[in-house]
Amino acid sequence: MAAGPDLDPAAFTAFHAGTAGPLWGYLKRIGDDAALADDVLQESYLRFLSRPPAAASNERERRSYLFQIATNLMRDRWRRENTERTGLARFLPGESGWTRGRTTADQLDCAAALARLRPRDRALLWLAHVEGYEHREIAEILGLRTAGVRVLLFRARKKMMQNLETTR
Amino acid sequence: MNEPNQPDVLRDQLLALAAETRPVDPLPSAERLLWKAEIRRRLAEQRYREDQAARPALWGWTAGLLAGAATVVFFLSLHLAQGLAGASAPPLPAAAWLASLIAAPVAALFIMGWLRKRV
Repeated sequence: MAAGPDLDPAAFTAFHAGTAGPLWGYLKRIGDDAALADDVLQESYLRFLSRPPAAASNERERRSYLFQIATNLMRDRWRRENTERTGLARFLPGESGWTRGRTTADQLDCAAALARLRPRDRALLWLAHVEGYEHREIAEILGLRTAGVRVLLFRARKKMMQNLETTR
Repeated sequence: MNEPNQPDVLRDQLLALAAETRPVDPLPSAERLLWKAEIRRRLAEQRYREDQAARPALWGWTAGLLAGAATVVFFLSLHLAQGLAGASAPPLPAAAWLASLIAAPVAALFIMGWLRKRV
């Protein structure tokens, strides 16, 4: 999305009020780390303010743009984290934080089932079902092809259902 | 693709989870974010201005360098031609001698200064 002129403080305050909570929830659930969610949330808004979306963009597009910034920042953090781990030889080659699933202890709730998915799958499910984004928007936010989102979402749903069943 | 009831079940569960997901610490307010963004913007501007001030005028330096190099080439070609022609060649005008004697060291100094600045 092309950068536009500086955002009006009042407009930003309203935008922030409507997006901060949902964005934090998204970051918390895809990263499974509250402190990381705090950091990335703040940085996302600062990036958003330094390069605001086009003035003509609507609320939904602005929101999607913010989620895209946050996703990219989260991905950068994982990459950095993986690089550090590689240096310490504690990391399996060929996997990244973005594609690696977490193996937490089985718990009888949705959060545990979600946490066992790969972060990208978590993001897909969250954006589709909680945020209600369309495939095209999800593709934009996650940097995927629109055609691929349908398949990836289907697999993520399937895996999530399996996780829910195995934890019951 | 899916069983009809599966996405809805999943959606309901995820929405319930989203409703439960609350920040541990208070989130930064819009005012605080705007203030931080402003500070960051000013710092970036200041850094840009400092860079601009510290940076030599590139085109000026390039033009000077080319002029210096041209002067050196002129000086060398002039004296080389004079040397090859020997005694039969007409003497150089006094103004040309003077200009080459002054311009060549100035150009050499200029080039040395430019090289030192680059290093």
